[in-house]
Amino acid sequence: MTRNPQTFRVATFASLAWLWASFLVIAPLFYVIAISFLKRGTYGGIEPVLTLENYTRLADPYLSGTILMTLGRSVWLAFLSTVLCILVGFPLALFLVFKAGRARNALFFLLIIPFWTNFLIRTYAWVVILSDNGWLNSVLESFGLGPEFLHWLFTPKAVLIGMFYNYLPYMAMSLYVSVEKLDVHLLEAAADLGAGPLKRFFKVTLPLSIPGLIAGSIMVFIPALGEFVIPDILGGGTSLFVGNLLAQEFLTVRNWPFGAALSVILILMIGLCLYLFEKVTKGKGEDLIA
Amino acid sequence: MKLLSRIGVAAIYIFLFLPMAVLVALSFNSAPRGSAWKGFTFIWYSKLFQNDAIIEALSRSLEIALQATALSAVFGLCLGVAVVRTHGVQRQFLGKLATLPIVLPEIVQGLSLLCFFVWLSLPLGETSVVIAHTAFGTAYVATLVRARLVAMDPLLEEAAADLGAKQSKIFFKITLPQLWPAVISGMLMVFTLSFDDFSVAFFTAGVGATTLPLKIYSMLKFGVSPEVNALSALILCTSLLLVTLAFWNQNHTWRKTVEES
Amino acid sequence: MKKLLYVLIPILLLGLALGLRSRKVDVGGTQAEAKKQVLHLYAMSDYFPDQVIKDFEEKNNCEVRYDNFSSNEELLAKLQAGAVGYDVIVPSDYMVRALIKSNLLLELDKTKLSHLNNLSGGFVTAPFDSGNHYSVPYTWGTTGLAYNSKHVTGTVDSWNVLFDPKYKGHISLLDDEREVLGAMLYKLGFSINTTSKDQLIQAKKLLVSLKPSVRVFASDAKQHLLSGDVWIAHMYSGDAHQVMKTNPEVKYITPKEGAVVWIDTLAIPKGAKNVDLAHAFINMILDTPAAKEITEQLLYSSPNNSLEKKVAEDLRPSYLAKMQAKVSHLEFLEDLGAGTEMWDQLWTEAKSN
Repeated sequence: MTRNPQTFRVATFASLAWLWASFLVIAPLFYVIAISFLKRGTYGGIEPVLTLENYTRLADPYLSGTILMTLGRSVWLAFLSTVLCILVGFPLALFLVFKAGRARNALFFLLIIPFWTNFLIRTYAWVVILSDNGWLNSVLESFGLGPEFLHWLFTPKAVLIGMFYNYLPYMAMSLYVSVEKLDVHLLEAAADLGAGPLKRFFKVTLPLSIPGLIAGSIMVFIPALGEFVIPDILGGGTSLFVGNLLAQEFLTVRNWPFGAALSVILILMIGLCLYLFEKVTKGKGEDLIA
Repeated sequence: MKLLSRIGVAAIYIFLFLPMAVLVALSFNSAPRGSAWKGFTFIWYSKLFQNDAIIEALSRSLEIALQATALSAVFGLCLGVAVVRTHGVQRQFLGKLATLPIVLPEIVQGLSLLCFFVWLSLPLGETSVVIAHTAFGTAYVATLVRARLVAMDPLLEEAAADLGAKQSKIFFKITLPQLWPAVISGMLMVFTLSFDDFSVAFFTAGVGATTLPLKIYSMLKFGVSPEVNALSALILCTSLLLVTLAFWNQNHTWRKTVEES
Repeated sequence: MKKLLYVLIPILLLGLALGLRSRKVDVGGTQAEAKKQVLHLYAMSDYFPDQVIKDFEEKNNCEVRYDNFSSNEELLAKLQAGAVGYDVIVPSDYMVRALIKSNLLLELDKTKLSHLNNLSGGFVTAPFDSGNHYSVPYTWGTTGLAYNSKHVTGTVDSWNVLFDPKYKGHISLLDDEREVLGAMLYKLGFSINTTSKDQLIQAKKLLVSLKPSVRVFASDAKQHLLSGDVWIAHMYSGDAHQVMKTNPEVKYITPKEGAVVWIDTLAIPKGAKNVDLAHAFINMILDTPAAKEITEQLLYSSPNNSLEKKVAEDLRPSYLAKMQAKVSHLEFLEDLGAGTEMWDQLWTEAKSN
């Protein structure tokens, strides 16, 4: 167990830490909340008039419908992305830990390379691949399937592919770290007791991997909720997600108060997710946040 | 079964590297658009090096990343130490605040900082981006420092204290050297994150602060030229090189430690 | 650990070096280099030929930093958010009016704009800034439909072609609230400068019904037209001409129900750091050599009289009056004043649908 020695004065460190926290974390969030209760100026900008209209606008039947649709779409996309990442990332992590042998380090290294390359470029590459006259269609054409066989670019499919591609390394790494800590002896014991591979997986591997699954899911689901670049580049702007809507409200439509209200809602949603995630992990004994 | 799983894993890796391979291949394609191969050429690379705007954006990104890294290192170290060595409510609060920038989506960070800057009447420019990057950079450094500090054996510090060493001496001579690798790793991480960042810069960038990702974004939205492919290929190779170096270094040090023991 | 430092230190030094270079710190550089001014230009991407910028940099011994925005609204948003320090910006007609009203523009010093006399007629008396007190016309053009005649057959002369089910999934619209809602308003027979809630809601509903057919919202659909993802693109005339140059099968029309005619201008925002340099830049653009280069490269029509005999007919300043005389359906976008908020809200609703 780690002791907490008071061998040097923590005050200076703490004060600088609080300086950072108050100016760069608390204050900005506070201002977002504050702005959500103000009025928008004629051409944009903020007028110092208190109002609840940004929130009541959401009660407007038509608008709330579209905003809810946007939120729902974002949650669904984030959820699908997370599930896909788990479905592919988990077997991958298991393979790396149990079946890769000496190639394990090299394979892990290969896994994290995409993570370190520029995110915009990785997303742009998919535009090139999925375009009607792009790489994928050229390949399919050479296999005899007519020209411009797939029209995936600028559809939700392309966005999902982009999201999955971008977030897979996060999930895989998180799962790898978790699976690696698994005690092989437990599995051996289970085998000795006569459990087949499937039973070993469901009764031993899976339950012990849950902290890693949760951590990975947090790392994928929450950023995915607010993602706007991938839908923007691969989605063509026809389907808005929360991130796009926020970007639009702040930098195009210039309705900052309304955008701020939306952000507050998004932050609350994220807070709820984190709380739920934390509750699930409480039983598993791992302290993920703080 | 074994073959199936191997094919599956190979497929995943091919999927992971496909986009990069396609971009690199296309960067040498003499066709200005489309994926049909029309011949090998270096022309896009030479055009790239003549493109002042891109070189400018590259400098901007490096400048901002360096400044953000330096600031994040300082604040991150302080935050990491503070989270581990304080007590009670303060500790809990700081702990939660320290993870917030990592967990919140970048768009929320970007727009909240934008709101904050506007309220302060801070003009948007390069400085605003540096500050914004420091906001999340600090959290990343703090996470690494904190992990290292918690795993560290406090015995050395306590021994020094028993021997009557001054507090500042204990920190600089004993604690800091042990934390240093974490700080360095953190700095590398922040540098990469800052250099790579689009979402936060998108909101907080102002006059003369067009970073490389911002430039690439406007190139993507307005008349893509094949120079983007060449630029992408170069960035990919550089990242590959850096990651290889870091990994090789890590392996090397690990092996050395094993051999020495 | 040491090895890592060997990697880090050169990177840090490289970055530092690049940083110092661009800050023009006098670390052994010449005096002239150390005092180099920087002109901050804020415009849409690819709106100034490289040669024009390089010429200006050489003639004035300065550096031009060119930042991009993707729409007039983004320009306004950033200026409102405090992006102070741009020297020259490129707003469109209606945005100039909004900027003047928001007190964000500097009044021009005409004594520094000797070539202003190259402009006349409609380019001086335009209602959004009559007398060119705050803005100087840079390019002008129309917004219409560019289509690939290989895939799009029959007569194309109306906004209706966008609604043709044959082309579902192959059309693109501009990502611009004024232009797109404006196009819907034209189709419905209303004015593009209306502030009637009723009419706007109808336009919004029309847009929402069209959305499933739209492949992409792109303010620059050149690449999409050329790559074949899009067959009909809502496009600015200059971009359309550029595409037509590469692919002669592409044609451009202004629909008969109505089309937007616009003038993009150069202006100096308040807070500009190098006002003299900004004036010099604008003056250079007003002069024949730069204007010619711009028109020939960008293929946008020019307001510059000295180019009357030097460029193709539809690129000349006189063509504006000619077009307006021939066809009655061209309208300028006007500042909506208090109606802006309603437009913004309906655009949000339409796009998030």
